[in-house]
Formats: sequence, structure tokens, C-alpha cells
Amino acid sequence: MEVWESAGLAFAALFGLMMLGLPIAFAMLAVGTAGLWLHVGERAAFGIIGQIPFTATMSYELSVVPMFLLMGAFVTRAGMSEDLYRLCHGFLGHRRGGLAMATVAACGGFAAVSGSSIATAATMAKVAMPEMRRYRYSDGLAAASIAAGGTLGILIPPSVIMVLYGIATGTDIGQLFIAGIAPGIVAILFYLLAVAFVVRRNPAAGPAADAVPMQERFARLLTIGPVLALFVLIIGGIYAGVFTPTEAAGVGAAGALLFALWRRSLTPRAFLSCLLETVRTTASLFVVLIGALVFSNFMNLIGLPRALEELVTGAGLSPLAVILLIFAIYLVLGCFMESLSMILLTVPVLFPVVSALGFDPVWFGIFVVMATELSLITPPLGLNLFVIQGVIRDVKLGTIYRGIVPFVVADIARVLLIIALPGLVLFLPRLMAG
Amino acid sequence: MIWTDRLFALLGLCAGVLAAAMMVVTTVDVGGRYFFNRPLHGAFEATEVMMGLMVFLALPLATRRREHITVTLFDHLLPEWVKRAAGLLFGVVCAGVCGLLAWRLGLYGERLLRVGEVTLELGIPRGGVATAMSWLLWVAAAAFVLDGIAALRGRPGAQAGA
Amino acid sequence: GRAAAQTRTIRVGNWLPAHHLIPRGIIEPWARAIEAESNGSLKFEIMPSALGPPPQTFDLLLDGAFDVGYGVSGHNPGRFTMTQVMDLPFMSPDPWAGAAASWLTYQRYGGRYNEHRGAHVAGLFVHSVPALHWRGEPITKLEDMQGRRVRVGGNVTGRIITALGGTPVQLPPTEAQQAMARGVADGITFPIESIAFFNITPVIRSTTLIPGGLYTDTFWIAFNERTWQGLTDAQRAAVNKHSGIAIALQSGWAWTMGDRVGQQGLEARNVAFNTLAEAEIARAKERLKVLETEWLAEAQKRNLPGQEILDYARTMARLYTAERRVNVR
Ligand code: NA
Ligand code: NA
Repeated sequence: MEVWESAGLAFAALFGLMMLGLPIAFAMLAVGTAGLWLHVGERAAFGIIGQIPFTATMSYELSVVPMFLLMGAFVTRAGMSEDLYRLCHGFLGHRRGGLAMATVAACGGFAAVSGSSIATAATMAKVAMPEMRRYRYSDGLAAASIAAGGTLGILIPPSVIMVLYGIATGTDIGQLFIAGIAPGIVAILFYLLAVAFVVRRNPAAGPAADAVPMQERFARLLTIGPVLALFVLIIGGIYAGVFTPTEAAGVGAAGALLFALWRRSLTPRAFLSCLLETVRTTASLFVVLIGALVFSNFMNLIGLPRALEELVTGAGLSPLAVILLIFAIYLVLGCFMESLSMILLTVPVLFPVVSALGFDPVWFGIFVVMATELSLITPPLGLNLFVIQGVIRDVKLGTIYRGIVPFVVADIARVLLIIALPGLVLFLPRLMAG
Repeated sequence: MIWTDRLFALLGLCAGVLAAAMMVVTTVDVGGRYFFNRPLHGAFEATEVMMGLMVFLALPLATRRREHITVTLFDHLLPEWVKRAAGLLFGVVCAGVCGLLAWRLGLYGERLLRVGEVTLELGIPRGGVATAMSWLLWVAAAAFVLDGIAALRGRPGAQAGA
Repeated sequence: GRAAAQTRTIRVGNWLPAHHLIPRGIIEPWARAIEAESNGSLKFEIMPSALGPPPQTFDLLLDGAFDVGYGVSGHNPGRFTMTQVMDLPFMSPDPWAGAAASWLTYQRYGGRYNEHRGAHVAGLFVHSVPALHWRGEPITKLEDMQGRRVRVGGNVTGRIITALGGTPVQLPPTEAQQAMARGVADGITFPIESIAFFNITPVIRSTTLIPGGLYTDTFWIAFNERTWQGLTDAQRAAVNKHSGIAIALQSGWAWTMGDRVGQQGLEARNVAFNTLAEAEIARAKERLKVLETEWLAEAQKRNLPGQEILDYARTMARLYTAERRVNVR
């Protein structure tokens, strides 16, 4: 079939350019533009690429990206990520693999005040990696626990991906946020099991750290009050109807700023560096978004959405088989595709199919978030893996690839679990709806 | 620090100010609406325009700081001279792509100015915003060229990505 | 064979889900009618997903990203100001009248507007009359609007709400449902159809109807000019036969059927309906006069006979209105 041939060729070219070392965004832009030119001609191709940088960035809804990033920067500056890590260190560190477990748990905590997986991974890498190196953890386990833990950033609310999914499908973002909590806790448990499995096979990978006295542990419990307060502000404000999920990001950033000021950890220079860090990351993420949009427009015009739809609905499969097929598609796409373009391309197509089969939109939203999480850590193209490598420059990507495997398995198990037990996702939002 | 880097830093600073402004605008809008039934006039559009400008103001700085997400799988396998040459090549390729976007976005901005499209509430000419973005994309293209040259000279850390 | 070789495929840009009343109730029947009319020499392919956000549709059409597109004129403020004459308060009393008047007016004066350069406009239509839907009690007089936050999609509706005495909350339509569900907004202005489409029905407790049409949006359907020039005379004749006033007719039905679905949903949940009294509507008209004055000034700037256009549009809307007392002495 012509569609699949073109798509396959485009993916191969894209993947090749990325592997050669062209920045991901520009690889997508180059392949997308060339493809559009070949498919719809120069005029339309140039027209499209002239408009996308404008419309992709001038977006009210996407203001959640810089605002959640800014919130994370203030939270980190206020020392909350260290507080979280010290707390988890205290309760888990003395076990074998305990620091990696603490990393996962602290990522889960940080995720409650961060909307982005990449930001969560980058922040926790700075905090957790030196500590794990101090105790001679293997680089593979240390880096993988941060990369995997970082993906919790979009599963545990607030979440940029949930906002995007909610906007694209008209699903209640407040309900999506609440629905992420229980699977988020399950995710932490599964990752802890993955760590336990690794150190059981290779005890040298994660030596036990010194135990912290009980009294000190409980003292540390008190330090994470601000994190909890910020989480309650965001989720509570959305639920009480004070602001929308989009606005929650801006208000959350202001809240985090107040905390940082209150902690007296924000000099004018530190404030500026929070702003600069936010806008630099925003710029690099939006260039990826622009690339993803150009590429997915090309896929759209060659007719990939319809071909995907026919693939999924054509065989007359049962709902369960359809979901498993979609999961398989996401797994494969996630290995080779940047997560944002994967979502942009698939959700508008698959959502109507899945809804028609009777799946709950909130449930499917969590499913999509989990598929995105997986794509962030599956080799060869996993953004979180690259982020870790960017922060800790002397770790080889190959080492991270090997280390991540048990966590990928844990993720797959978790997706299968929510397919088997949809109630795990839906009971909290239903409880809240009364 | 050469003057171009100062320029990029200055533009980045403007982007940072916009980020702070966006936070303030949202908070004031929400607060005004919830407590006083007085939402901030034009908050929605201001956010949109600030978003667009922020991204492109910060782009040259992000480029010079090598913040573009890049796969660096085979880096350690390559000899130094290949890495340097590739650094220059990719810098030039990215600059070319930026230039292409800048050119087309500039033309699009001209069209929007010609037909008189404005934002609804504040009446900001949308074509003007597009034109500004296009200029900033040209600056980003220059940043890519400078970065490619720096990579060729083998500046420290030039090979690592993300 | 030969006929197949001559088939011209027309790609239709689409930004709404396939079941929405515009693709399903207006675009699709129009496209299929033309296909039949052209004996299969034209084939329309409606895209399943969008190439960009809705406001980009016209520019994507100009650049030839697709051959046919449809869009909301108000999505590009300042660009289609004259075409938008029906958007003014109390111009469009029902979707047939509004659509017919918008098209007839455009046919008569549109050539002088010069607002759709690069495209061939096949038809215009409008949405059905909006109502005020509330999470709580309905309003019976304008004073009741005081302190109420009403979700609006854009600045013009925002000004309408402000003029009526309420507080506008501008949010994208995708966030409307959530704003209503959580109480960020107390009410919303929407055609009854959209309440069902955006799944807002469950949180509505009352609906205030405003006869005469508080406002509307003028939609356009257009061909890329090059595509249009590339069609044969027979193909263009086939398109023309099912466009223009035929689109207005089709759209009137589509919105009415959409409203019917919305109405059933609201009735099933025992939503209280009330109709704003005539005296209050007269007050509202008085307060909203300023929008008309501004539109006339815009026409003046363009050297167009604003008052004449407005009067013509109003006359056509009155003559083409759906509700008319007949067979009764
Ligand atoms: Na989060
Ligand atoms: Na991946």
C-alpha cells in the first residue's frame, strides 16, 4: 500500500537523520518539509511551513508548558526537590537499591508539582544522581531510575499531556487529573519492584546507604509541606471552579514563586535564572512541537490517519483486541517517534474509534499518557533518556539503554493492568463526581 | 563574550520577562474574575501573543546553549575531526531550516498585514507579530551558524546534546 | 476506464469530527450531490483530521493545502468584516433566514468587499440562534445578569455580555465544558446544538431563550482559486447548481436538526426554559446598537454603502425567515 510505503520511508529518513546527530526538531522539519513538497507541491508545502511556527506558538492552551516549567524551576530553587529526595532517602535509602527507590518515590512527589516528564527527569537527575554515585550505584540503574521516575511527571497530576489530550478530545481535564493519581501510585510500586529485581540479580548495582534515625526521618516529613500545599492549590482550585486547568499552571507558578520567596531562596539573580531556564527549555520544546506538527501534517496528507483507522477497525476485532492492537502500535511508534508527534498524529484518529467501542474517554486518556510515558523511555528514541544524558554527560547512552529494560517491562505490565482493571483508573474520578 | 552572545542573552531576557508577565496576567485575571467579577481585559490574547514572542525571543539563546534535543548515540565512536565537521554541517543545516521558516513566516506576516487581520480584543496586528517572529528566526539562523563554527573549532562540550 | 482517468479528486480541509453537523449535515451532502451531478468527474475527499487550528483554514486554502475549505469568518478578526454583516446583534432570527440573507447580500455586494482574494466562495451560512444556558436560575431581566460570569468564545460576544450587564469569561470552546462543569463560569452563550455537542447538557439547569438571534457567526465554504480555475465548465456548473442558496437551505436544516438533538437532551434533564420578555429584548437591542455603529464606520472606511448593505441583509432575513403564520386568518 502506498501510504505505508511513504510513511515507512519518511520514518526511516527521520530516524536516520536523528541518529546522525541532527537535532530532533530539525530532522522532523527537514523530512516533513521535503515530504510535503513531494506530496502536495512547493506552494502548499511552503505555505504550511510558513504558518505552523506562528500558530503552534501563539496558543493559549499551550501556555501550560512554560508555566508548569516555571513552577518547577521555582519549586526546585526553593529546595523542594532536595527536601523530597531527602525524605525518600531517609525512609528507603538503607535498603539495597534504596537510593534508586528513593529516586522513584521522590520523582513521584515532584510530579505532583510538575506538569512535564522532561522537567521532572532533568530536575531529579541533578538532585539524585550525585547521591547515587556517592554510594557507587551502577550508572545504568541510577540513570534508568531517574528516566523512568521522570515519566511520572505526566501521569501524576498536573500534566501537560493530559491538558493536551483533554483539549484534543473534549475530555474533562479535572477528571483526567484525578484519574492519574491511583495509576501513578501503582506506577511507583511497579518501578520499586523493577529496582528490587535489578539489585536482586546484581547486588553491586545498588548498595545500601547509611540508615537515617527514625526521628530525623519524621522531621524530614514536615519539610515537604509546601509541595503538598502547592498540589492542593492546583488540584483544589480546578475542582472548586476557581480556575481552569490551563490557568492552574500560571497560578501554580505564582504560588511556587511565593514559596521560594518565603524560603528566602530567591535572589534577583536566582529569579532571573529561573526565568531564563524556563524560556530556553520552552523554546527547545516548541521547536520540537513545530517539527512534530510539520511532520504530522505530512503524514496527515499522505493519508496515514485513515490507513491507521482502517487497520484498527478493518479486521472486525473485539474491543479488547483493538486496545491491544493500539497498544502494540504505540509501543512500536514510541520506539522511533518523538512522543508529541505520536500523540498529535494518533489521538484525533483513534479517539473516535475507541469511543465508538465504548471505552471511557478518561480511561483512554490515561492509557494514552502511559503510552507516551513508555515512548519517553523506550530505546532508541526516548526523550527522557537523552535528557538524563544531557544532564549527566559522562554516562553512555548504551548504558542507559541497558538499564532501562526492567522499567520498560514494569510499564508494559502497568498498561496491561489498567486494561484488565479499568476501575483502577476510573474509581477516583467517579467517586469525586459523586 | 562576543557581542552576538550578548544580543542572544538580551533577547532571552526579554523572553524571561514575558514568562513572568504571563504568570502575572493569568493570576490577576483569575483573581479579578473570582473575587471581583472583573477579569483582566485582553488576558486571553495577551497570553497568546506573549507565548509566540517568548518562544522566538528565547530561540537564539537556546541554540547557543545547545538546548536542542539531540540524539548522541554514536558520539563516542567518532574521531574528533568527524565530530567537528559534523558540528559545522548540522549547524549550517539547522540554520538553513531556520532561514526557510523565517522566509516563509515573513511572507505570511506580509499577507496578514495586507488583509488587516488583528487580535479581537487588543487589536494587535497579527501580521506584525508574525513579522517579528520571522526576524527572530533569522537571528536564530545566525546563532546556528555561529554554533556550527564553534563546533568546528572544537569548543568544550560542543559534542553533547539535550 | 476513460471516465476514471478524468476524475478530479477534490481534497476538503476539515477541522471538525465527522459526526458534527457541519461535515455530516452540510459539507457531505453538498459534496455527494456535486459528485452525482458531475457524473463522477469530481470526487470529494473529506479529510479526517485538521492540518491546523480552525483560524488557519482560510490561509491553508489560499496556499493550496486543500482544494476546498470551510471556516468561521470571525476567526480572522478584521479580515472578513463586511462579509460578517449577519454577525451583528439581532440580524439572524433563524438559521435559514441568516444563511439566505448572508449569501444573498454577499452575492449582491461581496464583489466589492474584496475579502476572499485567492478563493472562490461557494456559499455562506450561519449557526442557529444562541441562548443563555445557566448552571443555576434563568434570567428574566437584564439586571439579573449582574455578577454572572458567562463563558464566551471571543471578544464580540464578550462585549455583548458586558453590554447586557454580565462578566465575560473568554475561553476556547474546548475548555467551555470544564469551565461550566466546575463553575469557573455560571453560564454560557451557545446555540442549543452546541450544548449537546460539547457535552455541557449535564450541568445546565436553566436556559433563557432570546428570540431574534442575539448574534451569529458567518461561515464560508470556498474553493482554492487555482483549483476552481482548473475545473471544466461542466464541473463548475455542477458545483454552482448545489452551492449558494442550496447551501443556505441545507445548513438551515442541519442546524435545526442539531438544535433538536440538543433540545431533547435538555428536556430529558428537565431543564427549565424561559423566554426573555420583549421589553427586555428592546433594552438589549438599544445597548447593543453600538456594534452596528462601529460596523457602519468600518464600511465607511472601505468606501462601501454600509447602511444599504445592512438594510438589504435585514430585508432578506425578514423575507426568508422560517416561521410565518400561514393558513390562519
Ligand atoms: Na505532574
Ligand atoms: Na521511545
